[in-house]
Amino acid sequence: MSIINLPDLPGLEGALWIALTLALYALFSRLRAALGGNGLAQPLLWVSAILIAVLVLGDIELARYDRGGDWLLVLLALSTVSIGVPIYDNFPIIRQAAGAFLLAMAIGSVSAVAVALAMAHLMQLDAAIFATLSTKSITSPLAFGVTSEIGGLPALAMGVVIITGNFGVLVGPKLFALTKLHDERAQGLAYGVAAHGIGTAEAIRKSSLMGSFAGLSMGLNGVLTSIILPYVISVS
Amino acid sequence: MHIVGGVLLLAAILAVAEAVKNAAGLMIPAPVLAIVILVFGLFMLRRVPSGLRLVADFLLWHMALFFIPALVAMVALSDVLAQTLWPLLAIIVVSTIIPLWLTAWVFARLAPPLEDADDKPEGGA
Repeated sequence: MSIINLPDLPGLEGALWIALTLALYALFSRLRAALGGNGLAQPLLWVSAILIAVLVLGDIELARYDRGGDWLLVLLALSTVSIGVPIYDNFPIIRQAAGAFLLAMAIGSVSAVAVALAMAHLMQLDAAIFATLSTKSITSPLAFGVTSEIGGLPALAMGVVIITGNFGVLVGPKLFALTKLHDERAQGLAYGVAAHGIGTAEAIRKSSLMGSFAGLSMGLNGVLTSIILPYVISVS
Repeated sequence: MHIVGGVLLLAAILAVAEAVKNAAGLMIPAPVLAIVILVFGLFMLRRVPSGLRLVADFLLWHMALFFIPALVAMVALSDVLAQTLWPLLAIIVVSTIIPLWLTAWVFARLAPPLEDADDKPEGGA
């Protein structure tokens, strides 16, 4: 999504889709607050599910929703850039733990791809899906380019990364409570590696410190994996 | 004017990142490259301009909202998903829980404890 190519004006239909999206988001944000921040009440998940249902049931093409949706994607690009602010704010804390940061990130990233590929192999999924799953550790805009490079399905890669992010955000709080991992830095780092942009969005809401670790690990892991992966796949 | 200045900064940095990406033929998405440029710029400046802080706090707080169109776009995937939905979901569940736990666990084992709160620079939200 490039800011240089601004989308067309939304028009009546686009404006209505933006309004519906915002109204649902506001409603589910309230609901979530009312439920005491319950992890299952993810506005992103429910609002998207409702909108998908509306498109499917109404037999409406995605391009029509995108007349409004594209405007929100412009803001997604700007909010991604904004992650630089908490990273700057927390830089002294990040630097203090740099070694642990890099090692934990590398182990987490490799484990995500290894587990996914091992399971795909056992289930005998076809080669294109196998290649697609190997990009699982990369944040969505990166996954898109890398996937086509190594013979996977780009649209599926986006889908996998997004479902992964949502699932990570759903189970994260319970998982960290069960395993008694209360360190905000560790949680942020894990969200960035295992749940990408959606995990980072969630981490930033919890605290600036958690968000900065998530944003940095998402970016760094995504860039490193996308440089290394094409070589690994071509060798294997 | 504060808000305009903040949005202007973010948009300008993103534009620079797009230009650098195209010129150098990088595969990194422009917004990720823009994060690097922003952090570097803030170090030069040694502070976060108040307009940028205002806009960034708002955008970061509502980031999930901006992901909605990306999620809705999965409607286009219904054919592939219909064929391999269950194996894919099983893989996603396992290959998300393990790295989520492992990453946090390794870091918590190795990282030095967090220093006292008075060392903390003032945070955003």
